[in-house]
Amino acid sequence: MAHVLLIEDDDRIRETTRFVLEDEGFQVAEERTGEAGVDACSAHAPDCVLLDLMLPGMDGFETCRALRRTSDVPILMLTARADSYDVVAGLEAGADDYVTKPFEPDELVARVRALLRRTGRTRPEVETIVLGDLEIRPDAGVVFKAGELLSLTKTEFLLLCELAASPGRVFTRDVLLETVWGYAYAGDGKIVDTHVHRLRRKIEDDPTEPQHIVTVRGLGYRAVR
Amino acid sequence: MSRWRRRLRTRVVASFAGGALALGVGIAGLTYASTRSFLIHQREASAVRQARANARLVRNVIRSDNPDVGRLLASLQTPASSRSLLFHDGRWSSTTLGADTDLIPQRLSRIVIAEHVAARQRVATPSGAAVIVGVPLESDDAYFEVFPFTDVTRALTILAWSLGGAALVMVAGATAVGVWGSGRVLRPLTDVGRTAATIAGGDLTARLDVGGDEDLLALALGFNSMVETLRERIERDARFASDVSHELRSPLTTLRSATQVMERRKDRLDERSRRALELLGDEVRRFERMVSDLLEISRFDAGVADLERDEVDVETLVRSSLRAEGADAPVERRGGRFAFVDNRRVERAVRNIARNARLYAGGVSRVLVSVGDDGGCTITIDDSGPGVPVAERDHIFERFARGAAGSERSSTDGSGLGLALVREHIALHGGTVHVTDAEGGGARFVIDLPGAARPPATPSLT
Repeated sequence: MAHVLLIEDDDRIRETTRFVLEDEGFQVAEERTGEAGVDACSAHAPDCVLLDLMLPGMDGFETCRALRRTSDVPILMLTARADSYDVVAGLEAGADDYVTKPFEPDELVARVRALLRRTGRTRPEVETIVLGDLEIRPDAGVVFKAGELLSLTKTEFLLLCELAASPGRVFTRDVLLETVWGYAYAGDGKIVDTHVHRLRRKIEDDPTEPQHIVTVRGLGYRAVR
Repeated sequence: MSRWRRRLRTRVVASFAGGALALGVGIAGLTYASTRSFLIHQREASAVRQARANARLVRNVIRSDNPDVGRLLASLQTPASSRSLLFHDGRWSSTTLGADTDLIPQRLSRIVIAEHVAARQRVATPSGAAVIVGVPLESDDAYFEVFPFTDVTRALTILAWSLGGAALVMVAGATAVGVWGSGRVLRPLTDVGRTAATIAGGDLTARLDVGGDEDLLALALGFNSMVETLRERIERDARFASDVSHELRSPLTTLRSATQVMERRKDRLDERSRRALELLGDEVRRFERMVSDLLEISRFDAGVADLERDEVDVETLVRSSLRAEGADAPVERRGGRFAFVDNRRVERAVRNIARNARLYAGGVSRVLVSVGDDGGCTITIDDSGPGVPVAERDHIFERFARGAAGSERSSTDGSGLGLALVREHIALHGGTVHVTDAEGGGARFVIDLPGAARPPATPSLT
């Protein structure tokens, strides 16, 4: 049974969301503040974190960054506005995906399942992928750049593996959403763009002149061997 | 606006030139008139003085016994141009050979000769204006002297030309000053116009420069404070929308999840409760859509909606939008594949039209996508409904407008803002949407999205 940590300050939303998740068989732990959420995360190591962006005190963005400092747990953020900078800022802070309030309960459950599916996935069939000065070991879940170990979140790691496994092939945002995020339906390309952006900051010498993952205008992204 | 400016400027220049002309002509006229009267007066006074002096000489000479009138006249001190005439013993003698006597008007000679009164009269001679001074002598003799105004006339002519020239220079100068001055005066207005246009274009941070002319400081400050007030109000509206957003979304989230929890347990409810739950669920979903549509449209109203253009595979976008609304109509594509448009807004527009078709017009029957080379595209969506009457074709894009089909089924889950939002999304691209007749009777919605300049291309595929 998967453990979900729900960090949300609105009592009614927290309670009903817990009901929805428990109905789907998840085990839910609740916290009302970001500080308590960070503590609970390091104490209980949940499989997935649902994080409200509007929290009193330490807000969702800060909480997200704090969680990321110690953990690569998948983070799904709950935001009030889909068309604002909140989404990009949240993704930049380290979230893996987001849903907009008021969310469809079914959609929330589908996103959580997709996040968890990813987390458990490994790629034992390939031992090492070399991409320029990058050395990727999918089975061990580690990436070295010029011999130095990089710290990637699970989503960033899966994104890099997916692209690096077929250098030269162009991946559209929709394909990446499907293979990396596990969406069976059309999603938001902004998630892909923000993650590629974040990944580039970690793997590229100069993120504005990417050498490993390049943009193919109008189509998507591809890895360069 | 430029036409208005041109006309204002023309008016300013014309009044400068007109003023200068009136002033120039006035000054020149006054100067000319006073100089002329002064010169003529001087001329006449000196003529009278000289004639009197000469008359005294003549009187002294002709008193003697045998006066040589010819020599006498020749010896008189007269300016080169004047001529002397003497009426002596009933005969005329003159310094010149011509019969100058007919120059002297009869009235003058009568007054001088018959009535023994000194007189002068201005006459017109073939060689120009002149003044004739007549002085009576003893018995019926009289001395006349003709003084032509030639030199005065010449001086006046030169003066007239000079004054005319000065007036012309003055008009030209005033026109130049008018052009330059009106340009300078209107420049702040041009600045105001340009700034206002920038602000109308959505840049609420544009301000007038207050460091310029002190006389214009009040205008600049007033203008800037007006813009500031507007910006504050717009931001307050936008903030209000986002506050409303948060306030409404939280209870809706709870409602939606709570309904879901109950729906999972509906088997345990009796018939009536189950039906009530169904209605509740439907209305919560409809409420959700209304709130999200209202918030979307309030962003347009607050002017905070921004366009994020990107290379978009329009056919794929249209297909997935239709699928999301449960429509599986054939989609045909013509022309290129990628358009440079806002992905999310085009998707919302297509989905709203497809939902509208599903609710009121039997669903989408056919879609045609054609992409132009300039990054623009046209999306044509046909439905299987009865079509839209000509009179309602503009009306249906208004907020909360419901056509005949809509009012019959007002309990369906439309928000009343769907097509209004379509128009806003498309208008933000600078495009248009209209409805016409589809082949075969339904309505045809035509979305026309103009292209836009693309950013410089990234390195191409290898």
